Amino acid sequence: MRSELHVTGMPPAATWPERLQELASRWHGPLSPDEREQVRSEIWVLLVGALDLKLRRQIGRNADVDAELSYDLAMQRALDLFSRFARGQWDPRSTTAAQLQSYFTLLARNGLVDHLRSRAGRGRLGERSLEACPEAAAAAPADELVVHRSRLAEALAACSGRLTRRARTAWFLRVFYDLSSRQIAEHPGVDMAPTAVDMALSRARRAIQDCLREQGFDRADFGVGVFTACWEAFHRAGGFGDGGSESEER
Amino acid sequence: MDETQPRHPDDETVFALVHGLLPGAERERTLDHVRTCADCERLFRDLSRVREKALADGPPAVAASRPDESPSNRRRTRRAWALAAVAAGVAWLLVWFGAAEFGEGGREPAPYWLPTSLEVAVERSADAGVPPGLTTALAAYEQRNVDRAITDFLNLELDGGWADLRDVYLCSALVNAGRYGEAAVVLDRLDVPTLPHDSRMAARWCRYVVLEVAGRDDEARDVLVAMRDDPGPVGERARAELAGRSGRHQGKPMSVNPDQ
Repeated sequence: MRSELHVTGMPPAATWPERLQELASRWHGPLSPDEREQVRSEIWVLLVGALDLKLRRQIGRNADVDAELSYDLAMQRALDLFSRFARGQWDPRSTTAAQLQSYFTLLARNGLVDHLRSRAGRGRLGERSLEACPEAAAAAPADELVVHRSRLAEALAACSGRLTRRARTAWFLRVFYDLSSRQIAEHPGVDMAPTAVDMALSRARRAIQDCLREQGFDRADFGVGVFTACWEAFHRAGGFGDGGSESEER
Repeated sequence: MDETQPRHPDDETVFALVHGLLPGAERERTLDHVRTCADCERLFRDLSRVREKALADGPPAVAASRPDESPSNRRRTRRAWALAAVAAGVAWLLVWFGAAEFGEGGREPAPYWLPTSLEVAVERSADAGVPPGLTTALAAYEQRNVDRAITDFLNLELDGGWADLRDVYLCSALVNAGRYGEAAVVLDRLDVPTLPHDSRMAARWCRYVVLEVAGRDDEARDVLVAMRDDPGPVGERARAELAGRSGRHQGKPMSVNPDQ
């Protein structure tokens, strides 16, 4: 199975509500099982993502958002919404894109309010501090550093390209998203047993560290821009679905 | 405003970048900014992480779930719904319990519609009237308007015995609609041994059908055996099913609690 780390299919829509409406139209039309699964997956990811986005905004974009809290709340609301969608009780096409935005904002607000009503929720959020977002110019690295990190990203992409696709995807999910072995194991781009993930990650880390060291990099070089460059390089190369040899893992 | 200062993309734009919704030029422009802005890149990374986590957790399989789901999707689905049921406390969010088995060739027994006399309901609560909505839901059930009945039952927020009664009928409706995974979830929250006799037998029948359709023959048979001595309509059905199964299955001793 190909990884789902990149979006495929229809041409890009401008906003997520429009995309959601497109997907809903596809869902209600004739689809092969694979296509339906893909649409279902993308609807799900959009629901969770959009609700998470709204929750972050409710909490405060510049706050040190508890990512797990935001995700958990988004997940809860998305499950309800998806259930209603699948049962035909809610259709994103029945409203405008702007109304969808408002509706999701409301769902997020309600989710947060519900959470805040619990003692645990108050304690968890109360620890967060709000900080002003520094201007981009202040945070921007020097040109040399940008170039250096761009090269590092290219090196990372090249080094990880020596891995199998699944190992590469697992490595990316761990290094950049800090997903657990269980989550990585169940990611559609990996689909391995958790123990196999641990082994694959161990081998991948060692291989990439050795590869980077050969090219004069080490992990201390990671910083602003590396994730973006890696993300871009990986997706430019066909996401996580191309390259590598599956036979290495067999 | 200082025009030389790069403008931050808003979070909707970063979200669109993550989800592949930006057209080429805007995508490149956004990436150019994000890679030089620590806060923007952090947001970009956070939103990307949410996307991958959601993919890993997988979409829930609900009524529209299909038997052609891959095993990995089914595994994720069950966990995702289990997570929701605990976290959200929304019991009828549909955990696709045991979805792997449904649709893989199990036999479907003939539909069984429970009697809908409200005497059944009223005797459950001598000191209170029938909850609003229950009568309507039961009427839809009685008319075999199964989709409407399911919707009505799902929308009924009840407590205690009324909730049990709702769930028994909901389970029956789901089974008769072929929505076995959802029926399994409803069964899971029922404390069957504590139900009144008629409800207990109805719930056991639902469990039998769910197990039978799932191809879990031994467990299905055990439930039938537990019901066969009942003098009511469910016992009669159980005896008929057992007779029908005798040619297909070898007799085995009961190995499980029929209500679990």
